[in-house]
Amino acid sequence: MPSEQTRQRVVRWAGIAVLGAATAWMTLDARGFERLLKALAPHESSWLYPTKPLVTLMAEQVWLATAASLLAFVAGGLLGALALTRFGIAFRDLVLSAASLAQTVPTVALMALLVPLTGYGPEPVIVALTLYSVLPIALNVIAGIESVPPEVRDAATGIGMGRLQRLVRVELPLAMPVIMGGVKNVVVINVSAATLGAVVAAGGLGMPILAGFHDYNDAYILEGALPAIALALLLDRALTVRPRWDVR
Amino acid sequence: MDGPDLSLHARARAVAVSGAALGIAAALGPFGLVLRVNRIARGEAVSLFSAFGPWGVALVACWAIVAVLALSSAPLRMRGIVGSLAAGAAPVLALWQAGSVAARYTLQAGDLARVSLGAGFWLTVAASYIAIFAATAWLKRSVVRGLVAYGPFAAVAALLASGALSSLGIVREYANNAEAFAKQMNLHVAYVGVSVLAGLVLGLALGLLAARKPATEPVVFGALNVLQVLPTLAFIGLLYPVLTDLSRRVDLFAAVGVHGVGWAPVVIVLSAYAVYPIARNTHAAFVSLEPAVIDAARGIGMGPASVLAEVELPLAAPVILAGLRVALVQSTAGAIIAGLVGGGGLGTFVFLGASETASDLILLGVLPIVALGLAFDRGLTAVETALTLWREPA
Repeated sequence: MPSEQTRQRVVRWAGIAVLGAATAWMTLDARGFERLLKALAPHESSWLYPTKPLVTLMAEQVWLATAASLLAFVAGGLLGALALTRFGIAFRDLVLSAASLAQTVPTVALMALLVPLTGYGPEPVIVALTLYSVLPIALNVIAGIESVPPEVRDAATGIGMGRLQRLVRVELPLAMPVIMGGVKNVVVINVSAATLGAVVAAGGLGMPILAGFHDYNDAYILEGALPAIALALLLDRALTVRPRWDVR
Repeated sequence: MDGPDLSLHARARAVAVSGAALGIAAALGPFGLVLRVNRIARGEAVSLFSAFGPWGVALVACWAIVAVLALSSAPLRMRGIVGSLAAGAAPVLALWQAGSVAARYTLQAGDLARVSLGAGFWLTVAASYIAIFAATAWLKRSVVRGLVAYGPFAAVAALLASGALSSLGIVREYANNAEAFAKQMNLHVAYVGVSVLAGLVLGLALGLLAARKPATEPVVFGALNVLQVLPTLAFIGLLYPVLTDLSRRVDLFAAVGVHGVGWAPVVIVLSAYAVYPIARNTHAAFVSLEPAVIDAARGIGMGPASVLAEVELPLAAPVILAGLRVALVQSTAGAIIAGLVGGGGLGTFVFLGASETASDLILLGVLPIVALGLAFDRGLTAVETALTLWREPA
């Protein structure tokens, strides 16, 4: 089977390279990208969203997702770790239950509801995405650490490790694939959902898409949609620890 | 592990007490209710405690009861019932009082005035959820658990029906939009129904294909994964030129209303998202079926079609239903996007409210979405449990 694995790895890295190159090209080569949009939507009279250049929109999109994801990693990691302590274990089931409950609230609705507290702009998007991602991160930390076999835990204690040492040197490394799975999901969801930040004037790649719907301009829509899709797929591929069908 | 049952009850103490603490903080915090002179004006925030007068004391008392009971050594049954009743009473009391504050304020400040539920009220709801979650751990009988957990919903329905809330901002938004609300609600449910049905048909077929022909598995799930990752708005954007072009070229499409915006892209996008959880669970259920059971069914002379229909599908049903539940909850929340691209649905109120900063109008769209999502989630969970119990009689 090693040749099959090598083949999969080559396909994966080729995909990442192509997506990365496409994202970078669309963002950085405005003239070239405009030519593509002209070819795709020849009947329009304007092809690039006039308010902001794509490179700024892309930077805003990445900033929204990065800020929310980083805040969520810290808060979710702490919450997950807390839920595994002797005292916090009582909150474990509550975290699980609240995480499934949170699925019923649409992300963009939360952004809109935060506007009276935060004002329009990036703030409601970052707060909403962070709130959204905290529970899934905590959930994966809990699931990951609980997936460590008890024998391994006992062995670590047996060779004289303390609780903290066991956590850092044994449990966390073994839990990493599960935690990283959660991290990937959160980053991909955040970078996708950041597109909707345009609704509360947060900037990002959703701005040309919304402007395009408003003006019936196909080119503006594609100017936002194509890089948003390439970026989401790129992150999904790049952060995949192992291909899904590899796990049995 | 030390006596799991006993420690579970003891652990619930900490959760109940933190619920009560959050409840008290929410009652005393500044943003309990927001009073505005008109629906989009900047509001004046008041704490629940000060807005409710003596009833504010009652609100805090509810949380004190929860905390004291949790820390007491009263019998578990009593702690569970009284604790969850007190925790459930707190948001109902707050809502009822908010209704009477609203009635008084509108009388004094005029008909344009609005009273909205602020962050303090929503934290009270969250505190109640936490405390009831903890308190029901003390109860053995699931019937009693159900009654105390769903009692507050019945109380809210009764309050709404009695007219005690009719001056509250969100209820007034509803009254102003009653006709449109019914229409958009139906449309929203139709989006969810159609897309999940399409997702179910495709998901079953693809999941079965991947389980029967392992060679197709990477292709099927690779493609579905790509669809899953596409950002909703960008996905609709990608469809826009294609659908616009189709409606220009093919009269039939234009006649039934297929356009770059409207219902068509929404149904396509929601269906595409719904396939993945159903296909994944179908695949997982079928590959984990016991080969011995299927051999036995074949051995008694069943053909492949009847093995599938009478043995495999019933055995896989609970897992497939779990996937269906995920798809339903996702679509219910996801269908909000229709409001942004001219497709209607409850999202209409959310996006209109967002552009006007009218929180009450946003909530008029969001609350039914959340309620629908919860109803689907709990309803299908109950069916899953019933199926599993029926299959494996204890």
